[in-house]
Amino acid sequence: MNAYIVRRLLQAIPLVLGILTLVFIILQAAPGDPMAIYMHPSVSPEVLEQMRENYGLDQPIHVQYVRWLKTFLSGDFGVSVTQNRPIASILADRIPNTLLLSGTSLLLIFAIGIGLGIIQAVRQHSGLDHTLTLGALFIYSMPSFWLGLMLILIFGYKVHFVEWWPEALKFPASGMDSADYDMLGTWGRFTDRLQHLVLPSIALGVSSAASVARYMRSSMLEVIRQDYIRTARAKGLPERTVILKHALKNALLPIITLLGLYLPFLFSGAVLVEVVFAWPGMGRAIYDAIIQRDYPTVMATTFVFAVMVVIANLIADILYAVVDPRIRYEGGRRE
Amino acid sequence: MNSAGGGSAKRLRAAALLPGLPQLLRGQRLAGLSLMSLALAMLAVLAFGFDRVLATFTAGRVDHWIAFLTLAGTLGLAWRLSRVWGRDRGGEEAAGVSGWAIAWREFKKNRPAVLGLYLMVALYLVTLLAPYLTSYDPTVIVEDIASVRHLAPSGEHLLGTDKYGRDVYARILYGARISLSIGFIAVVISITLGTLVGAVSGYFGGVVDTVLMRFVDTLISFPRLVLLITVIALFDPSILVVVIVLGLTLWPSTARIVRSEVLSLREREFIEAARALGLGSPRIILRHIIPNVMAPVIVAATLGLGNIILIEAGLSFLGLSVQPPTPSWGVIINDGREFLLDAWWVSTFPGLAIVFTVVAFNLIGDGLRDALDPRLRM
Repeated sequence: MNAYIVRRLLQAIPLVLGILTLVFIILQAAPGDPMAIYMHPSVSPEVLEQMRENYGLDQPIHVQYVRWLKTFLSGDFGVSVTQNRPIASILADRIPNTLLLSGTSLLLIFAIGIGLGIIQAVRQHSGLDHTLTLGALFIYSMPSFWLGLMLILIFGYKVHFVEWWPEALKFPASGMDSADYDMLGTWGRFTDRLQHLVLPSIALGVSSAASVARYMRSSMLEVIRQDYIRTARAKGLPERTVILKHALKNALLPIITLLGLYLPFLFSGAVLVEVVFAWPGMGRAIYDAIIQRDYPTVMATTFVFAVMVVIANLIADILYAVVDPRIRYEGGRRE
Repeated sequence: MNSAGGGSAKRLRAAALLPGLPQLLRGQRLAGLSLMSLALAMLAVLAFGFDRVLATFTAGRVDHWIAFLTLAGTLGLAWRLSRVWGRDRGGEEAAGVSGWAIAWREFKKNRPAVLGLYLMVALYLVTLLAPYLTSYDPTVIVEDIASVRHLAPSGEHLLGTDKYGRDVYARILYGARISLSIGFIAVVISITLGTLVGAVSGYFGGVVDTVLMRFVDTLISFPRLVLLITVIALFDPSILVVVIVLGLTLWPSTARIVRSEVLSLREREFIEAARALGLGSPRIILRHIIPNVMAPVIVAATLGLGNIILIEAGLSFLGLSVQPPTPSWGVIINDGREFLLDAWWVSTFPGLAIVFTVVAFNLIGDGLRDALDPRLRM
């Protein structure tokens, strides 16, 4: 097991290096002079030349590359031009928010997807199965940002004017917490945060939930065809036990690999959903940075996003190896 | 069936005036209904938009002429096909049936997929016929904005007006052009690139394979949208930049699919034979490998088209694709966002257009997958 984890970790190293190199290439390929923001009639060319030297921009490209690698890997992403504070500290504020949102979404995706998948598999070819398949197709084809807007319109606005609508299902339209958040007790803070999480995590997650349901359905169908399930039924176990205890365990195995697959999608969606819901996460940060043309922040955020995907894939692979011992002994790579 | 008497032959000939009728009389429901609805739809456009069709000859914008050619062409095609298919085709059964014909036969049986195909044809026709379907201009802003802005959907403005008083229905119609054409071109670029890279990587193996696949792994590690907006942000967003960047960033998954196909393909006898004949690698790859991986590639392309339309909508929603006033579905949704609570219709309807378009492509993609590649059936 340890050998497998080490091997997997070693494989991640060239990947991170590749990501860094790509970010560097994109930066270099960008048209325009990085010093352009300092260019001004009152700044003399000599001063610019001096600054260029200070920043190491007069060095040959491979020297720049190595220096850049060193600073980036030590977590020094430079200073944000617009906010005038270290990018690392901006990201440190934003990463937990994005993780909270995507984590909640991930829970939602797998809870809904697995639940619906089981129901569909057990009731294969029933009216319910077809309805859910059709519904999943539509939800899967929805843009997350549009769904977010529609949720805001309906659950963040319209229902607030409906008298009989339960108070608990009237959600705030945007932001991460209410104005009086700091005055609330621990429980109050928790419920307030939860209320703010509901709409964005739904907007972010349902399309993936629809596709998890699809995978779960086919995985479950495959499992319940097997002999050991027939045995379980034959010895008189109730259908509920057969499905939930015997079949579910094996049907869940391939679903775990999806975990790593959905994270890049979630992070992509997070950019849009965070913009729609004014959620102060990394997606919002990269969007703001692009609007303000703050390229160092854009690049650092992109890099952190990619590294988070690599880490998530690592975790998914290790989880998979934990639950399915066969993986550990086969060659390191799965196609 | 072929022993029809003189009377019914005459009836068939008379029926040929309306496309699809001969097929319907013979019991070919799919072909008959398709041709007839196509022809009737074109006639309806002609009837309801007669003034606009006439305006083609006076106003004479390129747009109008394209629409006119589409209208006439589709009508003519429906009529012609109806005649051709109406003829006796006794020899058909004897002739050999190609793999594609078998796939088409499978595809036709799949009702949802056929529905998706109808939706797609309708969409492309709508983009071409846009000037005949509305008399409003999607970009012109009238001087007296106050009286026309944020009008609710009504007979005059089917889907209401936006904050500048522009007709939302017209903007969605013209926006379809941008969304569909960007998606189409980007998919063509990325599929071509992905197929080539995947084939080369799988065929040669070794160092080439390792290097290319590590590169693909790296690209896939980036959340797609993040990589896209990062690259686009460095340039000034324009249609050209968006198309190229979309095309260049979406090829890795195709490359992976193609590579895994090629890995098994290159061990087969016919490739060995080609090598034994002394054919060069480029020729083997282009003439013998690639045609044999077309099935999964076509499926990936169709499903990818829906995906790219979603991504493009997201980009234009963020203001990183087509620039206003040019309408694209994402741009319209973004326009409506500011006044979402007062004028819900501006953001809602383009979103529905996106959903139906993507549903159409997903239906077709699923149908193609079932028809072309039964192994992948879920």
